[in-house]
Amino acid sequence: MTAIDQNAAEFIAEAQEIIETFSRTLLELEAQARGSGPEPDLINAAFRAIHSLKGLAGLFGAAAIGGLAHSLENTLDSLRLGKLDLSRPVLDVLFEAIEVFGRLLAPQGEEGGGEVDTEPVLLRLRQLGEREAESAGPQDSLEWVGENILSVLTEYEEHRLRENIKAGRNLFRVHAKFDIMQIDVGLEQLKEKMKGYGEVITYLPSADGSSDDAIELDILLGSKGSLGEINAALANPDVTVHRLTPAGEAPSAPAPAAGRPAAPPAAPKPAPPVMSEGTSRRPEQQPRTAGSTPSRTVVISTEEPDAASAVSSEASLRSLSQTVRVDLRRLDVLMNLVGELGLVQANLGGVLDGLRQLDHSADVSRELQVQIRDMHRKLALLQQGILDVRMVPIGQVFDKLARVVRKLSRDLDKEIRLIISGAETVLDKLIVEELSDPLMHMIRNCIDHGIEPAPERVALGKLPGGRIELRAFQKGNRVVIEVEDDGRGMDWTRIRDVAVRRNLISGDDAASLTPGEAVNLIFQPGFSTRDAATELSGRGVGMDIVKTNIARLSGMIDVTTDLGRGTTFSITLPVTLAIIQALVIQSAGHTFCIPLNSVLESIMVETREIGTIEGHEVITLRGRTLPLLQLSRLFGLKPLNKNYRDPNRLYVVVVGLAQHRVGLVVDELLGQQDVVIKPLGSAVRNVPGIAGATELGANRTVLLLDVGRLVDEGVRQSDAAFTIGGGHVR
Amino acid sequence: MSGEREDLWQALLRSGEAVVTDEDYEHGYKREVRQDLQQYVTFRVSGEVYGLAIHEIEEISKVFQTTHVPRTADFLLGIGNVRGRIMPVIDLSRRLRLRPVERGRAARVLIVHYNEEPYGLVVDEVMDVIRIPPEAMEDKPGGLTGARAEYIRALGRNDGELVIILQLPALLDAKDFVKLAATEEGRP
Repeated sequence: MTAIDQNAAEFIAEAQEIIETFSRTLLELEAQARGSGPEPDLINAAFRAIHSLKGLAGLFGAAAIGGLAHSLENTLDSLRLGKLDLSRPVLDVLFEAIEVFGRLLAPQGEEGGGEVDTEPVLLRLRQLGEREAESAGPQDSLEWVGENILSVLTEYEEHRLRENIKAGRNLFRVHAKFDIMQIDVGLEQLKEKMKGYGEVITYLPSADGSSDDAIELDILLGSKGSLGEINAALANPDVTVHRLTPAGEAPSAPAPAAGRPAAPPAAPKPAPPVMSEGTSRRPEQQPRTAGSTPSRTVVISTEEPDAASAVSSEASLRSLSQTVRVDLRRLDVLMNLVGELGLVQANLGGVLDGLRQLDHSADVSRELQVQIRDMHRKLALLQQGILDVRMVPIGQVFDKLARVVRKLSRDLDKEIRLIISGAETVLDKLIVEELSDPLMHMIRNCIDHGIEPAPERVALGKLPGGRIELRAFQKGNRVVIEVEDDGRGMDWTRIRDVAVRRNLISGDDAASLTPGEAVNLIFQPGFSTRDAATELSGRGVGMDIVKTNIARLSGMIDVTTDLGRGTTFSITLPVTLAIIQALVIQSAGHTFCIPLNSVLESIMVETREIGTIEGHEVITLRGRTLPLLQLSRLFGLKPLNKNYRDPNRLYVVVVGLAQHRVGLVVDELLGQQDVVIKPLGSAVRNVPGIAGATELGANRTVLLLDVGRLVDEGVRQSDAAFTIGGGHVR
Repeated sequence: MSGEREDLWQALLRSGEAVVTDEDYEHGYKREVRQDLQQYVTFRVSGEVYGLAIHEIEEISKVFQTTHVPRTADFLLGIGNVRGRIMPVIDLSRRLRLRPVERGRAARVLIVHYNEEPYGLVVDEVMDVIRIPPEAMEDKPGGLTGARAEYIRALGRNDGELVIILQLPALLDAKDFVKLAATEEGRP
């Protein structure tokens, strides 16, 4: 990677991160706009995000992004100054801007890359500005607050002051004295206390009484509470509270210094702390990164030291002081090294055994054993540590989906409530990235096909607005993601008939389909129930892509549907792909690994249980027909002559990927092991059925089976016989 | 003896150990050798003498264990693992469709680099490092046709002895590795 590429990648990653933050803030604001009204802190957070983006774009010479950010910044400034209401049309334009940013940041040459016309959105932003000019009305006089205070308020502070008065809040001037060494801690504590009672409008440095070792501040607080309540809440000998009333200036108030120049040099700058409160309440959101960043980057964050420093780090462009961006490939290198260290350790164990043979070295070998055990523990921790670094919350994708839901529900005029749970569930960064497309397709299907139009819903006795639930949770060493809607569900007879009409299955096959098998036909390439492709879905590629993508992540997808009640898709995924648990097996004297996350069970089968359907071996497992694949035959391996085990019994490893299940017949089950996957070189990469290689101690290289491919082959082999699987379309 | 001998290589070869080690790389040893593109490592495969440009060879190792990969061509012995790096290991005599001879203790694996990936080539014996002046090189004779011709880059003369210089990209062409219709093989 050249330096320029590196810079561009950094820029894109950081810009996307900012836009994600902005988008999340907007979604939150939208929810608040419908409810209690937008919080000023959140509008500030949005403003700050775009401001940072503008600075960043300027730094990297990204003119189009900078220009759009500049216009947005103006609009957001009007919002926070109350010149513009956060209405639906305004939100629409803001969301549109996010989409345009996305296109601007897309890599050249890809879809959506290249020339992006920002003019339409800029025009709409300008129109918002014009509307704002009309809405500006006459303002009440604020003289009673005191000229010396008013004269130092910024436009924003003045706006907040008016808002507080409009809301009928009392105005207090809180005079506080801090030890110069502890002002940061003291001020933070005071701020925290006051926040419970109202809004801090501004901080004014106070000149009188300042001694060398103390700093005094006047804080303007808007609160619904009474003087007594505030006094009690802030109980502190160094704090005095005065109430300001329109009747006249508070008589007892010592007049603050006429202007800021009189402030003691160590006093904090008044404006920034107020602006930064929004973030201090949500520090947990900061480590998140943009969803599918093209630059494959993980953001690593240590614990937030405290709210105060989190605030300052987000507000500045230098930013993210606790965070390091690391290319995922570098982590892969580390991961590999750790895996190799594990092997070194295993070899040391061998040396130890050798040493034990010599009786005179008992002390040495005991010491060596202790050291090896210690190393083993540390290695395990190191491995876990590196794995943790790769983990990011699935919420990144959910945030993006929330935006999709919003857009689609507007486009299709269907009201949708999206309920998200488990956004904090962590998954490998690579998996999270790969998930966004499949989930997007599924959500589209839910809204387009699943959720009925409002009148139809009402007629069915449902709520007019549709409900989509996105859930993520950990289940053992896998993560389950569910997408549930309360729409019309799927009619299996209709799916079956469509599949016949589209020649995905023959009429004879269709007659013997069970409802469950029929529903699974939606995962077939080319399946679509709509005759004309809508803009959203209906091109018959959706669920096929979903299945392929999920299978590529060693995941499985299941669907359950209840006609008239709704549909639930359930995706089961491994937590990471870097280190996987594998089942080690043997076939015809060769050792192979099978990813454990695609192994459903291992069973022993008596040869007499094996039947054949049109020459293909099958067994019946709990009422389901399971096609058998002889691994040695599949791979053309010569079976060993000596048969040391019972010829009437076979080991069968039941593997399943997506909705297919196949039994692999193997000779031996050797056990489970954590393995680090290594890619095969380009010469061997395309061998069907082999996914990679790994090491199993003593420098032994073992192949990892590509279960998806083998299952496909198994299904193809036996398609004519019985299956509803992929055979007919190939 | 027109071929100029390289003392260091000789010494290393005589010791029978890996000729180039990681340490050598670090001390810039390899770069020094690489600068002269007219040096060739010669080796014997099924009785014939072949050569590869020295910069194409990264390391010479003793024969190591390989893991058989199903559904691949017969010249692929399998994949091997050298210090954590996985590489395909090729039986050069089968690749060149020569009559295989029993490999003895002198057999070595030439670890070569192609398209930034390592490959192992098993040869019967590593012989020498020679320097062939450009005028002693000849194009492969037009009369030499057949399947093997594509693997030959040129012919060199060293002490009047013929050295066949191999064409690495042709030898390592990825499309030859996977056995076609592998799924149908092995069916009873």
